[in-house]
Amino acid sequence: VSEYSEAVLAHFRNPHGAGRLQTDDARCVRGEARDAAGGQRVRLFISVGDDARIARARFQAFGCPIAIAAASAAVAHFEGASIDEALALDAAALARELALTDAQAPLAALPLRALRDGLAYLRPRP
Amino acid sequence: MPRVTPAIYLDHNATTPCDARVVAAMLPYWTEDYGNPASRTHAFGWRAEAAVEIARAQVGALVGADPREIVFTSGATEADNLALFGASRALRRESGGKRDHVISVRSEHRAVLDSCLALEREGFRVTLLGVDGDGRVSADALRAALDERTALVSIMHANNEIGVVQPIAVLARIAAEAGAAFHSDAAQSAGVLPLDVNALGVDFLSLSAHKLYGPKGIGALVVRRHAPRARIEPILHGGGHERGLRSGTLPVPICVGFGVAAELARLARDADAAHHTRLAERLFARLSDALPALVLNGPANDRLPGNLNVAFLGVEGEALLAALPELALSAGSACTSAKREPSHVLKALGAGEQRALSSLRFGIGRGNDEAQIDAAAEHVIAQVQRLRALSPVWDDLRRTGARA
Repeated sequence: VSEYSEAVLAHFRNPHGAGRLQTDDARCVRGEARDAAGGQRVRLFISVGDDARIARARFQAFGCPIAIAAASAAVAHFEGASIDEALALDAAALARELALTDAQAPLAALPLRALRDGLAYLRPRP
Repeated sequence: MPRVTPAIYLDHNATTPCDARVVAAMLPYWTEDYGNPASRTHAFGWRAEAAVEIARAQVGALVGADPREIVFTSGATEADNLALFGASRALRRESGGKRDHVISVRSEHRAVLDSCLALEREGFRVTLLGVDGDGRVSADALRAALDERTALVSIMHANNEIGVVQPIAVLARIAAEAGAAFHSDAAQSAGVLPLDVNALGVDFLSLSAHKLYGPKGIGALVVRRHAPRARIEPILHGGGHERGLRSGTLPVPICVGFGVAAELARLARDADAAHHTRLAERLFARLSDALPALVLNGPANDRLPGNLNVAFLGVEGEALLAALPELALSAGSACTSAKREPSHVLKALGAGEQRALSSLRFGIGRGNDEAQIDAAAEHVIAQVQRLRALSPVWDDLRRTGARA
């Protein structure tokens, strides 16, 4: 019996927003997060529009299907959201959406930590 | 949760299907000749005993051993435990406590490594030898580790993960010169590599039936009777079966199955080895023609026929496995993949974490053919390309031209 939920497998097979964005634009940033053991990592690219909403979000992930699915599901939430709305997404909700087991749930935090990491590089609006 | 039936089985280092001829040979011993071979007073017992003795001779013939040297166990794990605990304890006691040192290798099977840890708790000193980049143990390293206190050296013949074959004959001679006994786990190599206990010069050899198209639940420890005979004592106590070394009623049907499987393996060995090697080379050629940045874990030559362990840099092994429901494969060894840690064998080679996490093991066996290998290669190539396209590790490798 597969250890991955249908929701994880659906994102894993058809990830949403995989890829990268050019970060030479000041409104486009890149953030990254790794799990405690360091083996799994999620890299997030977001471009923020003048309206302080996330215009585009892309991810890269190295890790098990759960890490890839968590990044894909998070990016689907981030696109079009305001920064505050994106920051309000919590790992427990993402874990529920993906039907993760307790042992799998910590991986849901990776894209959210990558988001915070990326936003730290966002220059304040002039 | 979905239950996926993989179309192509490529995990023969984990287990093999039981040969139909083996199953047929076992059948009468469940319902007709069901006697206990230890029953000396009636024909049911005599027939069961005769069947077990034929099996004992067949298993012995596979490795050039006398039938009296075969001790049936529940599998290679028990055989390893019997050798490690039984020999170490007996040798320490016999030497009046002087020989209290055990030597093994970092890339051994868990059955040996965990036994070594338990021996440490019993007061033994344990040395685990390192290996070179291909996984080989050097004679010099063994020489340097041996001393007058060494009771037992345990080094596997062929590694279950990376297929490296150790120079057992050389290593066993070095151990003998130091007065130490020598054990080797040959669960992977029996049936595909020439295996002769006299040529190897070992005192103890572990075997498993289910790795050579026999039933699960049975193996053997070959306990040599040559002079000077290495001491060993039982770890299970009871009726004194198996010359006192392994108490418990013999499981006659699977003893018979093990015997027939060993006989078939002995006859098919060279053909099987050539078939497995040809398909493994075909698979690696297909993969490396289509995919850059592959690393073969283990040596290019002198490896277990049919074993292929490849690092697909930039792709995590668990993800690649999940992306390949059509294939039955494993990431490292079956036990390690449940724990989600980089394989201790790959770490012992000095492989970086990225390489260890990106590795898959292909185990080719009798049932595989060219069409399956080509189909498997196509699936793997497509999924590696797909997962690399979304991998930050691969993106970095590609941009910097670096190699892990």
